[in-house]
Amino acid sequence: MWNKKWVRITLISLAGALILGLSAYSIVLHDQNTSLKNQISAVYQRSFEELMSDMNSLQTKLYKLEAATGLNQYSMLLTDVWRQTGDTAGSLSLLPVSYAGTSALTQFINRTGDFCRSLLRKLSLGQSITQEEYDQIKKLAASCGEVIKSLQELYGKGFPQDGFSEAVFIPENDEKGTLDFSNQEFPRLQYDGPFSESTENKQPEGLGKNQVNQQQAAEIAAKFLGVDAGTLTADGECNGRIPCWEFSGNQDGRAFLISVTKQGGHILWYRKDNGGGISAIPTDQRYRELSKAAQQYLAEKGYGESAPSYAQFYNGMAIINLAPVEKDVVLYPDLIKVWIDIYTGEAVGLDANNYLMSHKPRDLKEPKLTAEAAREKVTPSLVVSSTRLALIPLETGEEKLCWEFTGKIEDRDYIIYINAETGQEEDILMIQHTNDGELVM
Amino acid sequence: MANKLKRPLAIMLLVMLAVLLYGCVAQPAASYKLGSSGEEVKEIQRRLRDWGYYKGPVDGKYGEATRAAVIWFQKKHGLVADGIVGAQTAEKLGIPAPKSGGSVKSGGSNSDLYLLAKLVYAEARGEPYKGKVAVAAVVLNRVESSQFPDSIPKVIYQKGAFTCVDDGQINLAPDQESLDAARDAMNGWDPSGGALFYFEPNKATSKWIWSRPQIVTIGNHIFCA
Repeated sequence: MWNKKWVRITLISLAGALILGLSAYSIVLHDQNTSLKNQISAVYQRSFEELMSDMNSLQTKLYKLEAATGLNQYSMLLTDVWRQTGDTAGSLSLLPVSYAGTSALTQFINRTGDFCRSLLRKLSLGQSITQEEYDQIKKLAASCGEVIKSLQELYGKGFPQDGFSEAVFIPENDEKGTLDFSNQEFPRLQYDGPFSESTENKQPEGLGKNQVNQQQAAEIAAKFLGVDAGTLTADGECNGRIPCWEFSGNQDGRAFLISVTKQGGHILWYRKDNGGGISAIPTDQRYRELSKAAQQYLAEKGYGESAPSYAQFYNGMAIINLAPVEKDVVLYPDLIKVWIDIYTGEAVGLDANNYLMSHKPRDLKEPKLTAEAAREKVTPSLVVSSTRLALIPLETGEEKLCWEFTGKIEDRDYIIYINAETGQEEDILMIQHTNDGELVM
Repeated sequence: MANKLKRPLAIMLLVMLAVLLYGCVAQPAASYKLGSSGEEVKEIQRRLRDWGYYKGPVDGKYGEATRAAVIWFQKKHGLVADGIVGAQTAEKLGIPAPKSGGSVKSGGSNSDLYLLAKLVYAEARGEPYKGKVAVAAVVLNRVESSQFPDSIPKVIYQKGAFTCVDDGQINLAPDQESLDAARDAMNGWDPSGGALFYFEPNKATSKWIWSRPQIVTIGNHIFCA
């Protein structure tokens, strides 16, 4: 009897303690949970409020542009707009919204900034803003107004704190979420820049006409690699901007991947396992040898003469960037990457994407400016080590023939481009020496 | 009863102590210097020769020529140029050296590369190498696209854009292959063919994602525009 009673008492008190403990624990959890929820919703709240104030200030600046006449005001306002759009898109990206509902707004913000940057560039070249561009600025400001109106309405309804059914970025069906700009008409901007329609829809120019089927592509790949076409495995197709057939296989016990364009039958890229290795920078002498190997490789593969520009070193490989050379002009838009195994000097990779996107017959004109005249346009503090003619791609997608001056200011390495026709300073690049090799910034 | 437990417990404690001690003590600064010899020295000479620093014979004897080559190599890589292959120089040369604490290097100045590698590891560690590069390329394609934010961190941390950010896997340390894949993508290799999205066909229930134009299938992922 005693025993049973004691057992019962023990059990009940144990259960009681357990319940008490669990309740206490759940209260702690609940508190933590609430605190975390509050913190997250504070981030959403802040991002949304920032988005609203950013849109407001974008609109104000765009309207101010309409009123401005002085170059200094233009420059300041355009710079402000361009800088602000990056933050605005950043605020939007922190909100739990769906891609389908907001990608049009992100695009509007990005293109507005990009457009203003292109206007800044025009102004810096001494050109003026056209009536059409004024009209576009006005339309942009009006669109900002519509966006602000929608945002304010949502804010009035307690968004994003209440009424916040969290939208997912990739929806199940086509849900747009509460923040939905998919039906809003944003102005189409006519300009050239990294985010412009013309750039995003750029088509490859270096492919040629004929189409190759998978079998023909296999033969092209086999010939390129020096293997039997029968040993290749077909990996299907890739229908991106440059559609191609893909293959894989083994050569000398090393796996390789290769991709042949459907149009024109060119090698888009090729990579062979090099067996790995260390990430260290070779001596200048060894680097020259590796560059020469890369140049020879490109010549053998039919790309003609090329000039090495910069390189990185990792996993026992050097990745060397080479620009084809035509009539003594270095063609940077057609830059080709070649991977060289540092141990053996063998080419273990090729990336011809830029080449196939940009390469075309070009009418390269004689430079109007002599190298000496162009040198006068370069800062006198640059100690020039080499000079050559180069065709460079601009952000706008245009290509410009320039005199290229490579040299040093104190111990820093620069490459400066002077337009060979107008004498404009088109670009200033800095070479950064990292532990992986050179980076051109 | 109590005695029976004591022995395994004691053994466990001993093992733990041994592991701890090993961690503390077993880090001899294995260095190779003037007078050293052996297979490791041969390997050092071979690497220095292939990278252009050493012209002498690969004989496994650490002589003046090897020392000079090591100093040259150290200067070129910003290491202390003492002519001794210590832990840091050994690591750069890829010679096995005792590990000193965490072996995974964080990106440092190259934080974008490291973040991208973390994403690749979290999203695609079971995928073939090409598929890893393709996942990294999708991030870079988004950075270039007008429909997405304009930097690698903004794209990766875009709310809801990658599941690995929500479930915390993004915080795992990436392996070498993920770092390589991120680097290859940053060097411009894009096996995704310009894709902006990818998904696993056997897991994705979203009708929306299936409606996107498909570009290429690599491993378990379909890449689409």
